[in-house]
Amino acid sequence: MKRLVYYTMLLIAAVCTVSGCSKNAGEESFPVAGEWHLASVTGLDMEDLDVYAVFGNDGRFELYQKVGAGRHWRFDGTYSLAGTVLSGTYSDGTEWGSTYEYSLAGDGQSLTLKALNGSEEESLYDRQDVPDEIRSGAVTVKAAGAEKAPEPFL
Amino acid sequence: MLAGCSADGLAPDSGKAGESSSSLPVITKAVNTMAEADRSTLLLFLDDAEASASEGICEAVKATGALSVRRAIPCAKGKEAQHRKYGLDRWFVVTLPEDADLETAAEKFASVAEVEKIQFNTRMQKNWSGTVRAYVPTRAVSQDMVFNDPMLADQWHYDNIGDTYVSLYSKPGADIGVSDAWRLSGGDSRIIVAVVDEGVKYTHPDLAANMWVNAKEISGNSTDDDDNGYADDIHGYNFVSGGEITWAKEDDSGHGTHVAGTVAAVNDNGTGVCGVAGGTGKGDGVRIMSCQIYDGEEGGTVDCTAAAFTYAADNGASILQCSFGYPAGVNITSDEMYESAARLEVAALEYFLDNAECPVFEDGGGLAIFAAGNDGASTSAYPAAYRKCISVTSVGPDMLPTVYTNYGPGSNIAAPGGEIAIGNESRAGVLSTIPSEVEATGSDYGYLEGTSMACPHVSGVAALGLSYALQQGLSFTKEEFTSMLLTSVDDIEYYLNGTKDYSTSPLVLSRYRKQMGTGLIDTWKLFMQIEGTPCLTAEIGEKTMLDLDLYFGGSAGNLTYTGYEMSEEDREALGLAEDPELRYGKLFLVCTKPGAAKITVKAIAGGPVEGTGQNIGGIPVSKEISIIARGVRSENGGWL
Repeated sequence: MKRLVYYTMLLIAAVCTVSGCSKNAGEESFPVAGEWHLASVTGLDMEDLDVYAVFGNDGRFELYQKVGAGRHWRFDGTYSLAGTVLSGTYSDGTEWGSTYEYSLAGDGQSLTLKALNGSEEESLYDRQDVPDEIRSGAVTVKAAGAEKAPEPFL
Repeated sequence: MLAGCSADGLAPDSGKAGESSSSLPVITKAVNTMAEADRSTLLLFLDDAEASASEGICEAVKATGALSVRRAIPCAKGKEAQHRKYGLDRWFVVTLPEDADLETAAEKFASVAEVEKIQFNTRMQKNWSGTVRAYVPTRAVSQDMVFNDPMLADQWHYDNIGDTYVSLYSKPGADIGVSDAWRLSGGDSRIIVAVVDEGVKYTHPDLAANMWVNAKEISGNSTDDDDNGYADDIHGYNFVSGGEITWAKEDDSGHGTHVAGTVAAVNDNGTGVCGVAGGTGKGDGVRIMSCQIYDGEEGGTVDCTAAAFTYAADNGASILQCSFGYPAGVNITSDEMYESAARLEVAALEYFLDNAECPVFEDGGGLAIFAAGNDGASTSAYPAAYRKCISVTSVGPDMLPTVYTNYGPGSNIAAPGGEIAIGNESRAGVLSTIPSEVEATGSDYGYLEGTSMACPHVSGVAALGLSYALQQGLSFTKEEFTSMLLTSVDDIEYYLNGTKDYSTSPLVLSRYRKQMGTGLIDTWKLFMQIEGTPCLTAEIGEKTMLDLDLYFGGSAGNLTYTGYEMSEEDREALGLAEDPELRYGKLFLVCTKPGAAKITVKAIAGGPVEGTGQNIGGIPVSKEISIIARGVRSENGGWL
């Protein structure tokens, strides 16, 4: 029995070593999973910003962002966790502008993303669902083609 | 394209009365020559509106046997002061007897002290000789199409999927990008487009519901019920005959009806074709006002055109849709020459541009959209080339310039005009409404090609954009909207390499680079600009290169930029370490702190130089660009 426990612990340790304890698609728990609304970001007035981030338990994410004028634009892609480090790639192949260190607070109702690109930018998100009208009215950014720049479409 | 008087007909006076480059007699006080002029009429500009009854005029009338002297622009109740401001009340048309000698009559009137200027009534003769090509079905309308009009699938100019049934050279995206925009708006009946052309068949089954109706006028009573200067003007007016609007006389081609259909054929009515701003089947298409300046073999004179422009302004039109003009690059080589030699026409055009009551424009006024011309010349024709007009060049279903299109100075934007010769049967033409009376098989639909067909695509997109703005409760200055319209484009420069050797004449494509205007018009992009353009993101501490495509369209890299303006407050907000730079359609910034700011960037829509009056140049456009500086920036604009 002791041997079984020992081998089981070895196996867990091995998996953690290989994956960096990351949560891959299909696993049941991504600590950041849920729908988040940007509440503040270092040095910026939130008046013209409205950003929702949706992290799925399947390793996929969606963004609904209105940065300045116009309607919300929808981006999507995949993300992964390595310890407390969050990184991702948009579906057009573009890497996120930074990786982030995440932390949860307030019984999981608050998410902080600290950029790890040296900028020290820190963003605070509150757990909040994306309103239906934003989901339905957002334009999706197409993947870049060989000849034409990305275009939004309904 | 419909028109074209000879170059001599508009010989400019270079500021000196009667001077011209032709060998025709010089008439004192004349602003142009009598070549290509209507021999039975003469235009006078008097020093006072009341001078038409002066002793001198009466004597001249008697001496020449003139049949009448009437105002060129009828008086419209409530508009008198505005007409006076543009001198429209001082222009008169003298009608001469058939056997009159025009030169002698002009000299006689020129000798009258009250006559300031004489303008020969240049006849813009139709040079349209194209035959309507019969409709050839290609594929059935599919369920995912926005509207149920059965011929929509064949209107590649709206949604080009690269169908080889249209042309072996079809390219996906060589269209006006309207399909997605239709999900937001199909038009608005408060927006009126004046089709200045042959008469529009207002009874056409695919147009009737979108015809403008002058509700204050009673049909058929020969009375000017609404005191606008015209009797029985229900759907517009026939400025040639003064009678009913016509479309099926000998020499009528169906041109006006075809153009009208592209702007606003009724959508989602289960019939025929779609129009760019033809509504959603709920009576919400933009309205077509027929301003008939060609009537069979008659018409096309300056007095008709000027009266049509003025009528459009006084009766609610927001857009002048004009697929006619003079031959390109032959005699008029600057706006000043045009202003000098075509005075009455220009006065009326200016009147429309300033006094039309477009409900979206905070500062009033309207848009004048003209075809660039079909001479294959390396300059736009006038009036399109005039710096206050939008000149439309033509591309085919292959995204390339058509063999006939004018291009070069004065050209502002491109749209699909069709090129039948490169197509499968006639399918590469533009499909629209036609009077069955002029179509060989009696059909209500057919294909035409030309910058005449490209032009109404831009008029339609502009009308649809105005409709959407109106429905969103948004308003803009005319300059703001024009800037948005001319920068809502897809790039065509990318394709201008090598030779288009399958045209009837091979085209060396490099000749068209930066000469077709800002790019191929795209409706969706206009809608997104109307809603508001997102901020561009700059990364703090890095020299960031910002792509201006979102603000200046897909050909942003090929526009000529003339500068930028940024307040000290905005510079401070971003902590700019150095002056911004504009290079190759990109904006370079070094921001040192997080913040948001605005910078106004100026460019030229069409060509390397702005129209100054002394040249043929482009339209200045300016865009206020919002910038946000933060610690993170992704290349595709995503927040994370």
